[in-house]
Amino acid sequence: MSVIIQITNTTINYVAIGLMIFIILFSVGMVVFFLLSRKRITLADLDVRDIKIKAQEDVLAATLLTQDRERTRVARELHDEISAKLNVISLNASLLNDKTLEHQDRELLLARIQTATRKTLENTRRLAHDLLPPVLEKFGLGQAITEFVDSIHNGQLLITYTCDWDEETLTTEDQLHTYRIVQELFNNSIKYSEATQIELSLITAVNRRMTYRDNGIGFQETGSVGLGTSNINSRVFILGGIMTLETSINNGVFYIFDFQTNAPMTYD
Amino acid sequence: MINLALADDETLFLETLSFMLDRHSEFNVLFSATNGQELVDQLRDCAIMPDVILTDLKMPILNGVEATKKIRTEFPEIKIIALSSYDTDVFISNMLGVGATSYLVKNSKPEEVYKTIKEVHEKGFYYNEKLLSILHQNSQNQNFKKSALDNKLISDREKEVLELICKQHTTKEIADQLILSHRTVDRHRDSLLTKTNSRNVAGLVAFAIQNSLVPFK
Repeated sequence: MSVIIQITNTTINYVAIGLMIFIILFSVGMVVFFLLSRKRITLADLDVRDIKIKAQEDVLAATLLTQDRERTRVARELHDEISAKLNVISLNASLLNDKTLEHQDRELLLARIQTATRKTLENTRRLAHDLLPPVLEKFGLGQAITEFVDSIHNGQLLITYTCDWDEETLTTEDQLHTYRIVQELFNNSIKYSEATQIELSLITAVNRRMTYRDNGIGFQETGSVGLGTSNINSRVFILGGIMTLETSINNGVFYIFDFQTNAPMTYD
Repeated sequence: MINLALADDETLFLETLSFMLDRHSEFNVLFSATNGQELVDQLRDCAIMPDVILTDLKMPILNGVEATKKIRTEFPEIKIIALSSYDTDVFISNMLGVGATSYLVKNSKPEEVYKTIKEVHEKGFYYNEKLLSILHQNSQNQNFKKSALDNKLISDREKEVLELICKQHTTKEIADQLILSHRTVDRHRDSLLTKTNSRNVAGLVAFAIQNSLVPFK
């Protein structure tokens, strides 16, 4: 018996030792696994953050580029249109001093001053309007887009536009971003797409949704994006929205923009 | 009578300038162009050559600077006056550098325009105080590369002539003042042009001031 008991004791000892070793190994394994997986999670976190930072950098770069392009345009307008006309006015006004001028010449100079003044006024109004449409500030996004659509005098182009967004819930900045997106979409269609129909609707359902469709030549989506598109992307990003685009050669474009209602403006 | 050609892309300005100069008995506007290329093309075609050209700097197709370069090579005898909305130093310097004989801002008084054209026609150049001070600034600028010309190359007599040329005196006035013959003054001037490698008097004066060969008052 005692032998058996002894054996049993030894067996129990072995089992106990084995169990202890197993528990130790298991614990070590758990700790190692835990540490490793934590490291993996951290790496994944870092990747996500890198992507976010990269996206923010892209947005910033696109914003700066757009801003520079806009400034170049404003500078050119100021020089080509406004300074040039002011020089015309100045020279004609100096000539009016001449006492020996014939009546009809005087009339001619005055008419020229009036023409140049009228054109300068038109140009300054347009320039100011391009920088910030006064309608947007006073009457909101819906009216501003209506005015913009009406200003496209193109007999070949049929534009359908609806909007049921409640501007009260949108900040002026958000309205301006949305307005610029619309402008950019129309510019692309008019300049490149040869479209004859454009449909734009701003509807409110679960989300605030904007859809834009044209029947132009479309394009093949490639990795590289133009300045206009990157301008749109950065504004969608700032608005915290999501954009999807369906297009292919000869099939027009179809954009869907989804913005959360009362989406907080965060860069996270 | 001084024959003129004008170039500016703003037609209203071009018309006004043309009207203003044609009214003056001493000027005759032969033709006007709305860009640099049109100006050069018309010069190649025209029967009577203009004596003086007034050209804008910023024009489509071929700008004023490039047009001036072309005209200086093909028609070196024509004097060019640059027109600009701005009197920024860099623009002026650049235009004088490529061979313009003077520079007018577009809102100059008509009298200033008349005077500049006449001076340029008679003396080959006209630098008003603004232009002179820009040339002088260049001579003071550390970055401005001065010519390697040895001062001794120019005789004292030549220096006297050069100073008077810079003060916009005519050959006759210089001859009278230095008690020299008309021909001797011409000879000194030609020698100065060769020594400084200048193509015209305007270039010579710019060279003299920028390289501090003459005192600046």
